[in-house]
Amino acid sequence: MDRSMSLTWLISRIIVYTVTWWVLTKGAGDSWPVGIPAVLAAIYIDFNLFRPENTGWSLGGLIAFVLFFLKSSVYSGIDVVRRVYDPRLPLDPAMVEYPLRLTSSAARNLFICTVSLLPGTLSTAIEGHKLVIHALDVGRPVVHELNIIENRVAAVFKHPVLINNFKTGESKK
Amino acid sequence: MNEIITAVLLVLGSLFSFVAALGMLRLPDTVIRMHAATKAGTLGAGLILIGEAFFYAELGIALRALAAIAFLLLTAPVAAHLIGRAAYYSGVKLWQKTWIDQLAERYISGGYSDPDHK
Repeated sequence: MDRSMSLTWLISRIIVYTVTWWVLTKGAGDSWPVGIPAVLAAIYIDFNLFRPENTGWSLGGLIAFVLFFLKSSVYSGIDVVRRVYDPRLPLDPAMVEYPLRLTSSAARNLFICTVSLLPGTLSTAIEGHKLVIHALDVGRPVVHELNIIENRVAAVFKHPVLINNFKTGESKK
Repeated sequence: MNEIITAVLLVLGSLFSFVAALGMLRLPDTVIRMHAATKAGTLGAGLILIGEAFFYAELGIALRALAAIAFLLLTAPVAAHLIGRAAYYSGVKLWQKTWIDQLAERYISGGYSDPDHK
């Protein structure tokens, strides 16, 4: 990573964390003795957890992703309500291994977190390049849905087009 | 008008939070319970926060509500992942009706092969 890249990275982090602190403290001036160390600590942790990468991102992809996420998130909540209230407890759960196609760690993190908030899937463990997913209902086309989420995440980070590594429209059992 | 929107959001948010709690009691194993806690719980708390922002109709409060929602969305899946991971690796028993998927067979033939499935 060259110098201008790392400068952009640092400045963007300073802005994000300072604004977050400012919003949370209602802009109180006397909070900065705590706020400045907190911002520095956040930048330090950020740098150590996620090494800055040369990944671009696209605004259009991000907006499309947020809209998709909000819509599916509401559907996901309703899906849980339906299953919990139904006296028959309609569940057909499975542990599914899903080979990750995304390569950058930022994209993977977003994908793994998104999976847990969308209908019927919860990321349970990461084993090398495979994500172990717990699915509530294998009657749904789980792998196909994961493919769609992954493609949306790829669009946010301008990843090259992902090639489906398995059949879509999978059959049940 | 604002009060009606607030009321609807608060009631819906409470309903989802209630379902998250009910799911904890009703659902059969740890990982399945995490589904209810993350999805219904986050949505419930998020709706209540949006309701709050509507009620006060103030930029500062709306921004703080948004920040709180962002933190919820960031932390809930991570917590669920760690609890699920701990359960997975420590061998907590899954519900007996859970399919244990064999990767190769699933992607090549689309079949399941867990002989213990009841």
